[in-house]
Amino acid sequence: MTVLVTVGLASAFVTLNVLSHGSGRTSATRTHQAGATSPRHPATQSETAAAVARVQAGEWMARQLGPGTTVACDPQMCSVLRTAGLHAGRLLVLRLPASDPRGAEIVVATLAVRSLLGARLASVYAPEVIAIFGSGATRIEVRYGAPGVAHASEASQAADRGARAAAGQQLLRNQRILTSQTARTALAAGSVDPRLLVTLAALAAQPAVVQQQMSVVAFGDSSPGVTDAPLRDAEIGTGSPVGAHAMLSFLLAQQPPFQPAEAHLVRQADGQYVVNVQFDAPSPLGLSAGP
Amino acid sequence: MLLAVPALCLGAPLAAQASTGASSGSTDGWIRLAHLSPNTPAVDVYLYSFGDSSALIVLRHVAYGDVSPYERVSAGTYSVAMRTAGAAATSSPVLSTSAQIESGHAYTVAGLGPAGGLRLAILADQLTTPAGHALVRVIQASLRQHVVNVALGGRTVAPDLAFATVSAYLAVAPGTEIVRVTAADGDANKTVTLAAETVHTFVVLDGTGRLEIVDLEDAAGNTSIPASGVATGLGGTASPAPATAVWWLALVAAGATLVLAGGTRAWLLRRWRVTRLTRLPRKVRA
Repeated sequence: MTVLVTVGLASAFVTLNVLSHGSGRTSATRTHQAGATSPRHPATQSETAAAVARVQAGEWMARQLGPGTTVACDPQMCSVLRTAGLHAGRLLVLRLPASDPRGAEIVVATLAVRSLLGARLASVYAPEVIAIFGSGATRIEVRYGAPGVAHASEASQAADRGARAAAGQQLLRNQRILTSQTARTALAAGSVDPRLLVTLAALAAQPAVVQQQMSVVAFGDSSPGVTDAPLRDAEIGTGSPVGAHAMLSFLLAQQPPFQPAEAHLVRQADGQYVVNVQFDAPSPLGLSAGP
Repeated sequence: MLLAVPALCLGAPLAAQASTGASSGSTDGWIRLAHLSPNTPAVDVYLYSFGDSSALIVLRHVAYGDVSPYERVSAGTYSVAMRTAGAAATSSPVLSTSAQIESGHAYTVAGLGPAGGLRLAILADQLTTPAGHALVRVIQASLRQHVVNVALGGRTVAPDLAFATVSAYLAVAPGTEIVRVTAADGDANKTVTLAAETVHTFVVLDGTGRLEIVDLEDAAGNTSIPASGVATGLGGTASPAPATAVWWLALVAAGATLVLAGGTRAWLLRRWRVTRLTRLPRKVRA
C-alpha cells in the first residue's frame, strides 16, 4: 500500500515536473529518442524511478532528520524536501556551476549532485552514507558530513565504531541490563548509536527502573540501504508498568543531543510494557564534551 | 568547545582520551567536579557507570566556584547528567555528556559557559611534571570579563583567554610568584607558591564586585594520585580518616547525604568552596 502510494505520488511529481520544466526535459528526451526503438517508455521508467527515489528520500529525511539539520540538495530534490515538510531555511540549494555544500550537515547525493561535486563529495564534503534510496543512476545517497568537524576518514570512523563497541561491551557487563542475543551482538560490535548507549547506562540507574532488571529487546535499523549505520532505535522493557513509565519520563525530559525523536510506551499482547525510543539521524560522530 | 587540549576534541568518540597522568597499576582513575558557570544555579550532578549501575555517583548542590576533591572511580565510561539542585525528586536528570575514565588518569568534569549554554567539559588533568618544574594552566570562568590575560611573574601564561576556555599546561620554574589577571574592566593579583613537581590550575572567577583567582593544586610529587584525592570515594577500600570540623560543616551546609535506595548506592556529595580545597583532609570516606 505504501509503495503504491509512493509510486502514485512520484508519478504525479513527474507529471508536475514535466509541466514545470518542460523545455529542458524535452531536450533530454529528444536526445534519448534518437537511438531508441521505443522512444518514450524507457525515459519515463527512468524518470519515474528517480522520482520515486526522491519522494522516498524526502519522506525519510522529513521523518528522521533532527529539526535543526541543514540539507544541501539540487533544486529538484530541494523542492521535494520542501513538499515533504522541511523548511526552506534548512535547505542549501546546490546550483551549477560553483556550488559548495559546506555548511550543511546532510548532502543529498542525486545524480546531479554526484556529477556536480565529483570525488570531493565523498572525500571532502560528506563521507558517510546514512541512507540509500533507488538504485543505479537514479540512486540517491543521503550523506553526512558534520560542518566544522574534520571529516571522518575511514580510520576515524573505525575508531568511532571501536569506541562504541567498547562502551557497548561495558553495558553488556551491567547486571541490571538484560539483552537479547541480537542486542548483545549489536552492542559488542559497536553498531549502536552513542546517544542510545549513554541513555541506556543512565536508564538502568534510575530508581524506579532499578527495582527490576531492564531488558533491551532489540535495536532497530532506520537507515535503508545502509548496513553499517549506527542503530538509532531501541525497544526496552522492564518488569513493571511503573518502571516503563519512569523510563518514558526520563527519555521525555532529555534535551538535545540526548532528546529522542520519538519515545512511546507500548503494551504488548502478553501485558508487558516496553518503551520504543528512536533518535534522529544522523548519528553523531562522538559525544564527549571534552575540550 | 575548548580548544586548548586537542586530545579532547569533539571528534573523540565517547571518550576523553586523556594522554596525561601516570599509570597507577590499578584499574581506577580519578575524577572531580567543578561548577564554573557564573549565572547557573546550583546543580546536582550524576555519573552513571556503563558497566555497573550500582556505581552511581551523585554530587549534590554544586554551586558556582565549587570544586570537589578527586574521587577514585573504576575505569570505564560514564554518562553524566545534571539536575537543578532542589528540583522535585520526581524530575529526571538531564544527560549532558559521557566521559571515558582511564586507569591512572585524572579528569575534571567542568560545567562551563553561561546558563543558557551550559555544558560539561571533560578536562584531562596532568599528574606529573617535567623534572624540576611546576605545571600551570588557567580556566577562565569569569563572565563579567569575557577575555583575560594571565601572567605569572613576568611571563604570560594565558594570553587572551576567552570565557569558558582552558589554557594548555605550561611548565614553569618553581618559586613564589604573583599571578596577575588583567582584563578590559578589572584585574586581580594573587601570590602563589609553586613547588617543583606540582601541578596547578588557576581559576579566574567572578567574585563579589571583582575578579578572583583561585589556585588549585592538582597534583604533587609526580605520583599517580592527584592532590586532595579521596581514596575511598567510590567503592574504594582505604580506611576512613577523621573528618575535620570544616569538612563536616561543609557537608552540612550542602545538605549532602548518602543515599541508599532500592539497592542502589549513591555516594555522597559534598560541597566545597574552591578556596577550601587545598585545606581539606585526605582520605575521607563519603
